[in-house]
Amino acid sequence: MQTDAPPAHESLKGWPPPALDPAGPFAAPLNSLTWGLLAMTAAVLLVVVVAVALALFAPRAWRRKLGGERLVWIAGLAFPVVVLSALLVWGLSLTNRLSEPPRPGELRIRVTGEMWWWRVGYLDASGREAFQDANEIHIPTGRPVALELESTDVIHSLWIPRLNGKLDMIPGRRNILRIQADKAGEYGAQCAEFCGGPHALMALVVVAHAPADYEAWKARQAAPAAPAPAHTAGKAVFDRAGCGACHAIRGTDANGLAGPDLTHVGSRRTLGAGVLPNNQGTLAGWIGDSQAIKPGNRMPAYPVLKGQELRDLSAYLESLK
Amino acid sequence: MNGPPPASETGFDTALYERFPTRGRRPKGELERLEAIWCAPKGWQWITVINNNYVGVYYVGAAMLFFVLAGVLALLMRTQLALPMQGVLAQETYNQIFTMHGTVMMFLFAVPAVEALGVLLLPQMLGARDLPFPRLSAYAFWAYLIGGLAFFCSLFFGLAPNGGWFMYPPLTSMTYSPGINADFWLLGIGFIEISAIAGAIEIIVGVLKTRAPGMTLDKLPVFAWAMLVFAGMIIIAFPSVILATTLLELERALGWPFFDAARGGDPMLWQHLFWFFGHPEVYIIFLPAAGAMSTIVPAVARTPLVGHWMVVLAFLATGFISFGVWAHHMFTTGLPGVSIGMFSAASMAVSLPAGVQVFSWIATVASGRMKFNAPGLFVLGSLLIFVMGGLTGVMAAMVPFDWQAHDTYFIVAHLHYVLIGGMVFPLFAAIYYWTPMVSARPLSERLGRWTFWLMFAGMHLAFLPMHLTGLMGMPRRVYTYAAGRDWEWPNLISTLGAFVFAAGVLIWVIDMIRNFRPFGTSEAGNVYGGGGLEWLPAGLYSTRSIPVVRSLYPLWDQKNLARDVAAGRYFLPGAPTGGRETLVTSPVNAEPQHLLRMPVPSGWHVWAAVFTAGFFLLLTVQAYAASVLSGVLGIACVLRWCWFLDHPLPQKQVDVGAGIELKTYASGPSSTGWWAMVVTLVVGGMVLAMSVFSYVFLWSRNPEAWRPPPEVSSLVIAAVSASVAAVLAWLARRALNRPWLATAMVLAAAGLLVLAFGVDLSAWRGGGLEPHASAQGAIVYAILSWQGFFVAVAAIMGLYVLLRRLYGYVGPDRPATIELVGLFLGYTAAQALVGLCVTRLFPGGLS
Amino acid sequence: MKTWLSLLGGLAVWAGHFLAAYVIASIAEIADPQHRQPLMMVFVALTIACVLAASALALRSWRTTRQGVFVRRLSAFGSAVAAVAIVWQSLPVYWAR
Repeated sequence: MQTDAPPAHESLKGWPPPALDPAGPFAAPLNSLTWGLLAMTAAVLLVVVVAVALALFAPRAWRRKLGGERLVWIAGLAFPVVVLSALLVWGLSLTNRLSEPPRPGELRIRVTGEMWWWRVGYLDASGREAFQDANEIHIPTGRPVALELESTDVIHSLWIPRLNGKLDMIPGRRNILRIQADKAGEYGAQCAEFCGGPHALMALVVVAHAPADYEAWKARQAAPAAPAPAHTAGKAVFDRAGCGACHAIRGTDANGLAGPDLTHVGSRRTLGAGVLPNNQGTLAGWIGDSQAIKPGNRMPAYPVLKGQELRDLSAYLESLK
Repeated sequence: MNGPPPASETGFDTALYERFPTRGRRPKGELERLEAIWCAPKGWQWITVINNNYVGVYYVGAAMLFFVLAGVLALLMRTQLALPMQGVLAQETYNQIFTMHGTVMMFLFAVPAVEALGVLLLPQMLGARDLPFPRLSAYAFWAYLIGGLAFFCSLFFGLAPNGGWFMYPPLTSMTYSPGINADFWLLGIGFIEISAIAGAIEIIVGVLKTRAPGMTLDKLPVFAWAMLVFAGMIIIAFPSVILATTLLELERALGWPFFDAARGGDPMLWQHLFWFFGHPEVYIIFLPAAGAMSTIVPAVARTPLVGHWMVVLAFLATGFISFGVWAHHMFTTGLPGVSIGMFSAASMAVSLPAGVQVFSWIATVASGRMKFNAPGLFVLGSLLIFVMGGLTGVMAAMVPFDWQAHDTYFIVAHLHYVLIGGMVFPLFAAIYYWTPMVSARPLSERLGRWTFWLMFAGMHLAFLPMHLTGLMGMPRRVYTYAAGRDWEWPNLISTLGAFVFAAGVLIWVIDMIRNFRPFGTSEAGNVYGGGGLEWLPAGLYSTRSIPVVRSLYPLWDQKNLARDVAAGRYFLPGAPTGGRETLVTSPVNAEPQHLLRMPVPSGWHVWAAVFTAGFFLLLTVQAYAASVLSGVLGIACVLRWCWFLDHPLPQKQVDVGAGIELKTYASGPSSTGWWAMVVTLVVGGMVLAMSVFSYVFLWSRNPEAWRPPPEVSSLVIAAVSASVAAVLAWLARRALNRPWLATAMVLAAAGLLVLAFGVDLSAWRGGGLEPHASAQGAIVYAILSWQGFFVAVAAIMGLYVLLRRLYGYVGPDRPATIELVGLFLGYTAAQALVGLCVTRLFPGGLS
Repeated sequence: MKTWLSLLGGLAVWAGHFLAAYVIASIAEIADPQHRQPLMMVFVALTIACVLAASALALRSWRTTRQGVFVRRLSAFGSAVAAVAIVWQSLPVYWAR
């Protein structure tokens, strides 16, 4: 199912710097702009350093030429005006181009920032939410996707550096961030606006599939959880511990809305919004004491659950592929 | 630069300047009397002292204390981030520490430090005996020190704010920050804003009104120009954050939903209000530092500043343009494209004045011969660092790049380059340069070089890698990061750099302990060969006599100036009224206007500061009764301190030197009090303007939820009462020949303002608008509260005038009190009318 | 007072223009699309008026004989800069979508 994607931790690598490693048409111009600006910065800095060096050490005749209002006029005023005007034209035209609104019929995904995870809703053609997922955004390659950014608590900011710049999620508002990945793969993302407590541990991964794979993935996710006859013990722990008060598993009684939807939790790459890789061991550890792993997160620790119960529960949840 | 002499501004005959320097001996005992009047403090007087020679040093010292404290917090953070997933600091502790680092550096170090520099240097530079309101600057200092220390100590109880130094709601709302941590920020900072504004008023009036005769605008020292623009910017910018903190505190304490989207508020309102202050703030702290640079560069290069007039114009332009850039902190919030483009353009344009200054310094260096002494090194280091920060600033002004860089370590790097290059290094240059003015010994050149190189190297080591860390995806304000993301090396290098930088600061502290000897009878003097008046021989009374200034660099260009000044051959060689006094001159051409009798030390301002601090701190810990008591005592202290003012002297006119006679009492626009009141009212007006902005902003978010205002009759009654109050306030000044009538008019005006306020308030309450139910309710009652505050002050002023009348202190010989109260009442009436019109007539009109 | 007016006048015109541009842009954001055109006309008229005002101030301050060279130079050049800045500042308004 994820044959075309590298393992999860690869996607969050810092080298090459993701802001300089674009993977789609929205990020590519940002990359060119960054290099252009870096070149400008280096050039101007060189001019200043040379000017300072000459002012300090050059022969008297040279210094006399530099030491007048002419230098201020030329280097302090005229030169920056030219550079800045050019930059302004470049910046504005790029801003215009990149802020085009989504085309009608463009794929829409609603991403809601929560303290401290991401609720991801996939919208159907009529704009209604077809199903919910968490902490991963799945998109098809080769076409733009519009992310509707919202928040119900505090301000968050979604930043997927390889696909586009960041955009804030503000309570009471809806911002549209368009992304497009040209190649299948995983693209790390991060909350960029300080949102309290464990803001540092609020990551996300964007998974781009080839269009056919995407449709298949979508069909799997839209389906409710399959019955799990092999995991009745784990299901019983889930019900007994009251997990369903906060988490939903479609196809069962669990319909809580406070925490991430767990219908297909076993298919996710990470736990705790990018904190841990997802497997039965880490999941058991997370349930037992998520507060030690991600201090301050909204899920309480469950010291009451014994070892066997945790094993059953995590086995059940991992089976929800 | 020396064209034909401009026309006289005040009617003073500038030909009289030719009488100076005078000839002949000064009378015996004159200097001794001057020294006795300006004597050094003893015992408790060290606390009640108001002379800027003392308060200025205290002030700079306190600011540097907070610099070191906030620096220690930075070291703690860098230790935590040196390696991934460390547990040196817990998450909550880290969040408090980064919030405090930013807050303390900005509010308790940067702004006070430059203001302190102004208090310390300006009187000497301008040739004044002291600032016009020495007690006010002493009050500002004590309020700042007490409030700042208490605020900092919240860290030791785990009660420090933890929402970041720009405190974005809803994170800082009661729902998500239920503790009193956020209240510490809101009330603590609100309080320090008062101190900053008090300092700004002092500086504006000081620069405009207490210059040495002949110091026309072209001869005004460039540092004083910078301080003037700086103070003006504080007056315009700080009201916005005062309003913002007040609104957020109202939301937290009373549930008025300004920023709560669920009840019709909008968190974006905070961002607009905060950054309308927050970005100018950067220039607010940069300008004085730039002024210091433009003073020190010519001194160490031993040549006049090249393009002096362009530098002054650059200050003015910065002052204006910096108010058009606030939204560049909001490029990622989804602002509409037009606004984004405008703010982007302004953000780039604001770098032009900086470019002019940088190349003016380079040209000055080229035209002179630079000495590589400690101030010289800091000046050069500052120049390079600041240019680098400015260039990354231009990068971040480019909207699409900012979408990547915003809220990452790239921005952390950028802002530290700007602030360290634009403010910290110039400040250190200033400390090395001006220490010989106040200390018996200069600082060590050898240690100074160590300090410089460690700070310079540490700075780059710490912050250069952060540009990369940011592009590598590291967001700011993270208390830790996962291993395996390649962020380890740059972070480790940054931590190393931070400690190298700290080592430089430590050496400076050692140097200060070893060599700094202020308050003595001797001073090291003009070690670096500056050309300004501050290098004249001076005592606690500043210079023996106040010179006539004929050049931008009087010490370089006016022969024998130091000798003649010290011999008392210029203005005010003694103390003709027998007390502390200084010359008041006109704001453009600095022509002598009158003699200002200055206050002497007393404890009232210290108590006022203690009780002001008590009011805010007790409010924070929700001890409401004690807080109110403290507030009342604070007001009583201020009134007691005002009571000493506005008493005409027996001598109506005195000889201020060379037979030139000046009045000893003034009112109206020639007096310092009038200017201070007008500037204060500008602050009030800016708060009102920002409230009106907030009102329209909230309405535009939710126009259909806006309810119609209460019935028109109450509007008419309130508006008529306020208008009559304004007329009475104006008439009172003209009725002083009949003191009781004037007093009655003031009281009637205050009463009518209370009436107008009461009618307006009860109409809204009767109309059923609830402050906690909707954004309209919240903002309407906020505007009402602001008006209520002014009305309360107006009422106190009315009673104060009545009391003065009972003591016989109201009369035609002393119009100042009535005049200033009248100004305040008139403004309050105007504010009432604006508030009424906006809340009643927008958007529905009279329909 | 006159001196300060001439020193700050041009820059104040710039500030006023900036404020007006911000207000107009904000109104345009919430107004009917059909009102955008007239708003733009208002803005263009305002820009021209402000540029003329700043230029006039520049000329006046340069020609006055009441002030010293320093103030004249500062006022004239400040107002001229303001005129240019007004044009620069209004570019994004025409350009942005």
